[in-house]
Amino acid sequence: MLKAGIDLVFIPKMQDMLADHTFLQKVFHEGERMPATAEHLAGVYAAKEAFFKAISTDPAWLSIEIKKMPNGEPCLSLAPVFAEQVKKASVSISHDNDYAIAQVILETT
Amino acid sequence: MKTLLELVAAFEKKEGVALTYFTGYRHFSYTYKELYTLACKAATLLEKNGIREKDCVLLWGYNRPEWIIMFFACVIRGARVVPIDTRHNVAFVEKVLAQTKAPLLVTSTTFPLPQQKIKVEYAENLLFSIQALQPHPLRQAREDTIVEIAYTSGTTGDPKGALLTHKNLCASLLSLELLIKPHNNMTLLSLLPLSHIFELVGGMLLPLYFGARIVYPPSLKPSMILDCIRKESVTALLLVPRLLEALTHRIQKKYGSFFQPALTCAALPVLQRLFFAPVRHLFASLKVIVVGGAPLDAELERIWENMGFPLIHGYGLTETAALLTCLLPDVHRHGSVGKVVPGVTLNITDDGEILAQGDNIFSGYFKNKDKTRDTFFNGWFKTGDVGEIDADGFLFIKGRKKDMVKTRSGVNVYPEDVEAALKKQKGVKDACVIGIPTRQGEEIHAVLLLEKGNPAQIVAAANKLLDATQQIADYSVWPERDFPRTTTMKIKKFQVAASLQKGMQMQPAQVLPPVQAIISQLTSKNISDNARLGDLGLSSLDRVELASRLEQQLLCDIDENGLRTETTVKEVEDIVAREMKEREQYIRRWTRWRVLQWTRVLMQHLFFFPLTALFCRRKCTGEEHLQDLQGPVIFVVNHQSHFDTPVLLMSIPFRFRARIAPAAWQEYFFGEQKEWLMKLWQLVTYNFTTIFWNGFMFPQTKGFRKSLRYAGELVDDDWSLLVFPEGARTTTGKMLPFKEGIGFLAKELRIPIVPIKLDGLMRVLPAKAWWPHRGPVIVKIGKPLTFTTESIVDITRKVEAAVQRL
Repeated sequence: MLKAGIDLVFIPKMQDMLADHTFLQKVFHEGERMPATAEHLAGVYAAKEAFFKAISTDPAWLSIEIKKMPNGEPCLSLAPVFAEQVKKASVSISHDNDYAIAQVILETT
Repeated sequence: MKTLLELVAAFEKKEGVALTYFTGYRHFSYTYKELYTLACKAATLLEKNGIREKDCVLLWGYNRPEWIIMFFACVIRGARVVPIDTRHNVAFVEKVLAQTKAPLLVTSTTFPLPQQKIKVEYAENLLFSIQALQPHPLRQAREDTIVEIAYTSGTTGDPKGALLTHKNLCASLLSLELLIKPHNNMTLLSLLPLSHIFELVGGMLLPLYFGARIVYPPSLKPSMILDCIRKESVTALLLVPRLLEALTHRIQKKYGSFFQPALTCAALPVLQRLFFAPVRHLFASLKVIVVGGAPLDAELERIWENMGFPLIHGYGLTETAALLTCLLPDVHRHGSVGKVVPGVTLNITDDGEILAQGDNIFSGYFKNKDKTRDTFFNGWFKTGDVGEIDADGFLFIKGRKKDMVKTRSGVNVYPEDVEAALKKQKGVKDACVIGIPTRQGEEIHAVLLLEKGNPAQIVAAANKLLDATQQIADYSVWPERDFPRTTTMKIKKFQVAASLQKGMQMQPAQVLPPVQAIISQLTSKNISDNARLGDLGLSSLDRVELASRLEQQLLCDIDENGLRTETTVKEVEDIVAREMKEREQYIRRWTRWRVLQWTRVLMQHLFFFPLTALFCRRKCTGEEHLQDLQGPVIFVVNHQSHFDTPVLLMSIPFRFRARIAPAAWQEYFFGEQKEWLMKLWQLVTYNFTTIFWNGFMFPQTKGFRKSLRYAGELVDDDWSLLVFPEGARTTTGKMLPFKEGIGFLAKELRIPIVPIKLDGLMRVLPAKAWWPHRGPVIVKIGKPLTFTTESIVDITRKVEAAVQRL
């Protein structure tokens, strides 16, 4: 089965939250926080939110990681708990001015 | 001692622990020898990053060993340290960067990065990055080589960097040495940011010079500080008055019944000592308390004096590499800031300004000849403070020449910066920012001359432009057509302040209950009990932020999944109320007592293991992997039956078996049960697990952090852990996916993970069955895994794969 999720984030809102270290540690892995710019984190957050929408569960932020492949494309690294449900996963992120958007498409069993 | 390099060189020969750091879960200690080696290796890292002599390195992060290691690495390399207060925002960093042209920023992954391109080293990864490097040799340094550029001003104006040389810092150290005598087992608790000169010299350089131990607590909550003082036998404290006040309040709360009578017995010192006894017991180890950074309230000073802890109080500026004068218990005069420290001379000008001279005085501001020139007068440093010296040499401070506001946390705020932010708002004709004196330092108060607009919103909008140290605490609206001004049209601030004191009409602030107050920070809509978060305009990101703020401000663990679009305000209040009631009720530390431990080991060997052996024909492979393995480790095992734990314990060496704590699934023992029989079963099994097996509760879903903290405590005390990451026993024989709990444990505890696979136990005692059958059991022990910078997700996957492969 194919499932999709999408999320839009207002980057200045993420900028405001950058001062909150607890929030950053709760939602993002260390690798995702490099660089800790509002634009980058907005994209990562949108990708995570999109994934959890696609899989229809409550977000467990640190159970997935958005990694960068050598060619710069983002990819999803999932904790073992999702291995059973999700056969394939694909993510795409985009930024424009004050907004970041991400889309996740899953192939589930 | 002429240069700090001599200090570093001395580390190599010193014995004992230099730094102890609490991550919040575990504590890690570094000896002097280790500090020396790490600093030398970090200096090589600087070399690899192309840092040369006189290059600037920005340090922007919370106190931790890596900060100190980088500081000394810069000293060794000849680079200039530029510390930046964590409370400053990224705009400030960009300004400093533009001025210093620093090629490297050392920070934490939770800090935003400046826009300029710059090399970044993250403190979290530092120790891993330098592991394999060769130590950098120590070279000669000159007395007048600049060690640090300490920035002291606001953000909208140009920041000024005070240049501090080896001579300045060493002179400061040597004069402090004469005032604060070292004592045995000196242990200092580091409470102030290292970016502040007071902490740098008094809380880092001085203790290290004495060969003392510095402890970094996991948080600055007063209850945590008091706890730390007792547990670590802290002998010295360095604080700003605001923190001292917070501690005093905490003590008053805790020992209320003793405190009040004690204060009233001021006339009878003997009786007073008696009443203060429990407090003094709490601080039994404390020998020295040093207060500085802002004016100290006389009453607060008296309370501590009566408690039996006279304070040492000092006055100085960043430009004077800490102290100019010092008030000691035996060199004391109320209302004064003390006599001059050795090596410093003071003078007063005709208009009352305090001048100073000495080896500790800085040489000037970075790339700012004008400001430097203005700060010196005939070779004397102008402090900018107005005061007088009495016949015995005690200095009394009257006020500040400039209109600077010195806040309660010891930070200098320039009113012009705050006024500029206010004037940018629509509807503001003019703004006057003054410091309202409180008992400790001053509060930033804005007086607005408005054309139109809502003052609360204006102040909030201005606060957004200002960084954390400049926040406007309160405001008033000037009722007249204009501010009182001088002939040159400058606002007469002292007059505005005087009018305020006499009492001006002010809008009463709306007082909301705490949860609603926090929600109102995120929305401008009206808040009612039945209002849903979605209707209030909170996006999903806003809800995550709400959970974070509730956690921070109300100090509880909130599962943010409870906050959805349709959750009402009342429901949020209920969630918070529930979380605040839960305590550490499930953690039993006494099961680790020696007597119980040996009884347990005896019972296991005499009864449980033979019972297990009756049903399990055990065969074990891979034992050689554990032969040389040191220290506490985490055993990770797949879960098949209730016999798993005994079978596993029988297969590992005695040194691990005797000191191990299995993680037990909290929900199994404390999940909701209706029938009394099931409740009884839960009680029995809970006691059985904790007493006979030293099990500790580890929840699968929430309340994570408390268990993680207890796990850290176990590991610090040299206990190994046994974890079943699947969570439940398999019913199909196939391994269930590993939950991320193991990832968290591995990352925070930083000890080796031993993967072990069990086979056959499913046939001996399947999950649903009540009675076991005899059968073969295979235990496969794998090679221990260690992790460095991998993420939690990566670790969980790797550990799962490792067990799977066996």
